[in-house]
Amino acid sequence: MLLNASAYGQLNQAQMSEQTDASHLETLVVTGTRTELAQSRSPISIDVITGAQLQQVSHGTLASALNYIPGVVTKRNAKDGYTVQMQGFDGDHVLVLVNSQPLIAPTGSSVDLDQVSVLNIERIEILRGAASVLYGSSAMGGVINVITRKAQKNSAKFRYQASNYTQNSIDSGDISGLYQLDVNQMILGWQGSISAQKIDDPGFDYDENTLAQSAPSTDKTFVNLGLARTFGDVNISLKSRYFSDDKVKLRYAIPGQSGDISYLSNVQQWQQDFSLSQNQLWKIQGRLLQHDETSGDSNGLRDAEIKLAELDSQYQWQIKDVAFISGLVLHRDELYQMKQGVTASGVDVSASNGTVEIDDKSRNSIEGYTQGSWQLADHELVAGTRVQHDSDFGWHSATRVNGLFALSNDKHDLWQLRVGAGQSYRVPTLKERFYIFDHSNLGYMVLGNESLDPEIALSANLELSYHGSVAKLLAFKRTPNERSPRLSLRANAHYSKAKDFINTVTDVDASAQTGLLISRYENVDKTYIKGVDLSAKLSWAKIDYQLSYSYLHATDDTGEYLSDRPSHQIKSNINWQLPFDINALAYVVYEAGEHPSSAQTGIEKDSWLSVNLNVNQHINDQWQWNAGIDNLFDEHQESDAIASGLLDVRPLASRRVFAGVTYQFY
Amino acid sequence: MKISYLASLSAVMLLTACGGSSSSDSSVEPSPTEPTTPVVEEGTVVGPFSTGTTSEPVRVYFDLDAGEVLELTDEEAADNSVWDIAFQRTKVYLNTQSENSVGAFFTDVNSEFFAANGAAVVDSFLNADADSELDDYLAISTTDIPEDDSFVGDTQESVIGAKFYDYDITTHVVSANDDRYFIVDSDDVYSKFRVTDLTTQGRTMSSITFGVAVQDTLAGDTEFGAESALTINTADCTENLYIDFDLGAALSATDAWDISLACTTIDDITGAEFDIHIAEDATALVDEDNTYAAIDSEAAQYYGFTSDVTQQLAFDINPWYQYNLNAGHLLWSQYGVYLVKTNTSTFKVQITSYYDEAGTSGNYSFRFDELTSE
Repeated sequence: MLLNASAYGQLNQAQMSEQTDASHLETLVVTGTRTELAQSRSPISIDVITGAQLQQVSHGTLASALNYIPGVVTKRNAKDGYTVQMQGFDGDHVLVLVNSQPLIAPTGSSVDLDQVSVLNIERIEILRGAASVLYGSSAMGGVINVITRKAQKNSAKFRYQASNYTQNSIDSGDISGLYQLDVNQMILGWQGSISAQKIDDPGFDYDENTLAQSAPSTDKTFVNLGLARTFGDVNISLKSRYFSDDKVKLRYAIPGQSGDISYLSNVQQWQQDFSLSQNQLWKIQGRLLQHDETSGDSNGLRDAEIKLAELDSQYQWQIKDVAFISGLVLHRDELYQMKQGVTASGVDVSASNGTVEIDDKSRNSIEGYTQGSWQLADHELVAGTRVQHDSDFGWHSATRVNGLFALSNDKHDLWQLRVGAGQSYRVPTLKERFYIFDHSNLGYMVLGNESLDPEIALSANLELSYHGSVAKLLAFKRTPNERSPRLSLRANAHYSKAKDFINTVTDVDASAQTGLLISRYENVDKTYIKGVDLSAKLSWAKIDYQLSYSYLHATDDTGEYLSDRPSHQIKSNINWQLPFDINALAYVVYEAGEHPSSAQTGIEKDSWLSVNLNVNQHINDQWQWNAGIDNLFDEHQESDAIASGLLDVRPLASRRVFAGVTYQFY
Repeated sequence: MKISYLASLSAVMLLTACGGSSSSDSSVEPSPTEPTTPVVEEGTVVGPFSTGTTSEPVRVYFDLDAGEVLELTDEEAADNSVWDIAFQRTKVYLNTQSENSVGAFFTDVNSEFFAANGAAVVDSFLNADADSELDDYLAISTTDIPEDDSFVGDTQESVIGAKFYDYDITTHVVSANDDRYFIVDSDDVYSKFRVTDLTTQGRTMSSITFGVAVQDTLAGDTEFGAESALTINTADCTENLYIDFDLGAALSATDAWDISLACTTIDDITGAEFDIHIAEDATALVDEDNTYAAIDSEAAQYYGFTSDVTQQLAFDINPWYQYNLNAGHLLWSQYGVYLVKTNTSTFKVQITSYYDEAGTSGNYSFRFDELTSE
């Protein structure tokens, strides 16, 4: 709601003039119920960020874009990818979907947001909290559902944006380039689309006196093809997506040798989607995804082949006043991982063919769900259950109940209460089940465990929201006044109790017998998470202002704080429509109160602040330009502190200045 | 005289003849009578020699005298006295054959690589390379060779072996050391035992009595039970004895036994030898002062249980490397100089790298030279 209102602020002046009443532009959302309905009518609270907003706050991928969203914590992982945390759950427990179907997670269960292009996105829907009933595994902390655009008219657009990491550039004058081409064309009754994006980023380095580079040079290519057509009331859609990513980052000198070790990553992804649906009645959609990756330090590269196949069907039906949605999902994951062999050197042994770490393993699941929705006046009760049968752990189920209660009837002075409680889960990954990580030369091994059970959580949330105007809320006037600032408020409290979280545990017997430290994945950890999200949005004339605060308290069963999570997060943005169709956006992110892990020896910095500025202008129907600065004060982590084992929560994010131009052909 | 010695000597002679100038100096006409032996300068780095992968490790056997790798299988090497030093992943081995019992002495030239509290000085390790540490290497000479008894060789030790008895060298009487306890981890049972009595029969034992306390983890025991006595008659043994403490009986070799005693049946001498071994799938420790009333199975790896025979490597006393100094899971040489004494010569050895040019681990480069009086 708040973001939806914020989205209005991103629109151009002509569009702004139309939105005298928010209800006229009510956004449709799908994630909360798997059916389209108005955002304010969704029994599960959904935030929306539009494609236009994404273009404004991103650099081509979702990585930096989600940092803009209240309550979402973005983290950069060891592979220089990006994951998100929601409501205290890390990236493994937040489900990232494209058109309600999952993506491949190269690291554990976490999708790398830097591998998802923003180019042809209609909107992103963000569901905070558990949603395993409708989406299955990993939907414990929330769901991020990327909805791609359904083109409805012929168009062609090209965009170029250049950026520079100022004083952190590896070579002065290094320019990062973003190229986007987006074409939609009706051909023989089919709506065809092709979009392509290339990102050429030289990376950055904070300390030129050290060999190690702070961020890698990357070369990403995205290509999307789409065909869609409607036959009567049946819609058919075919989509193909290709993605490639090359990264290189200098890391270490080779001890005793003159060469260097670099982190290398080469990723290629192919995705094929099809969808067949009859309005809101039924839908069948399928996805085939293949991810080939060679990555690691140059002296220890790993090859991984990851495959995902899913067939997802849903059907809507009704018994008296209760509307149901039922679905059946067939899902298969495959994984092969090998550590590359060594190169023969000197006069000794011949080259090895490498070590297989996960030997062509797979898992299959069949999942069925039903959710019923009972609407009574402006109130709605939703209850659903999901049952999953997995090829390894057998049967598992989750149930959840949600309620939406309208506390007032006036659309211009609307109080709503949303409550929810239920179960969620995450199934063990193939890595957790079958991994063989052999570092016995250094005295240890990490082994998968085929007997793992799903991680499970019980969670509840309570949300009170208000949509209206300052005048209404403060009872200044008894009649609606369109010139009074519009106001949205929201307060959300959440609590989760999770158990059977998977972690590595020392296998005592195996360790004693082998003389090595043998660790094995086990269902061991318990987690308790509670928190509050508060937000306020004020829209007045040509200014939108939003302020949000999130508090988190996350501990394990011994009362120890979980590391890697901020206790406090403040996000604020102001959007201003200026004359000459100029739009200016400033947003601030502040996080504090992160706790060190047991491996960290102290704290270098446990809070950070990022200020980001952005301006764009529609010159005419063809030309548009934009410019801005990310991380104005260049607040970034210290490599030395990280290397010495200290906690430094500041992101690995350099100041970046950028400017771009867009040309609309037709 | 060995090749490397000749080479070193030749290099020294050549440098002397040329007054330290480059060997490519055109003012020095090569003589047709000069030796044809390749000139190897002192401190020249050899390698890298690959020791295979983690899953397929290879031991590289090196003959310091000949300055070359010997192509030996591990079985062949076990009976070979030509090789002097061997490498396998991070471990460095010395030959223990009686014809070539190799010992090592650590000269400690780079003691400043460690702080007073024993912590590694990271910058010292990261900034050192073969060139910067050459002078320390070259400075080592025959004057640094210590007395013979300062050299330490690789040894093997049984976790129990002969530790269960005392031998009086004046009276030649063997008696049970009932103050020394042993704990065996075998078949999910921890057995604490001591030998409380033994009778001898010439050079063998005719009987042995154990005091045994058992902690059966599977049965839910969280501490050792009361000690009970177990006497095994070994006087008339015809084959090795296999004893299970939980059952309190001698079993056959194919059963789930805990400890074994070798049986001597040479001529008319029979009886058990004074040597106790544990099963291949068992581990054990010496509980010197009867410290442990219980074993916490969750923390068992921290007690120090070991397999039957453990090898004590001379190079492990002063490790040649430090690991993970810059969070990169890399091994950095301390560039310490070891003196390696074979049956015929003494060499200085400095390991310079664990990597090849591509950064592949397990590839040893090192420099070595024989120490001789000139």
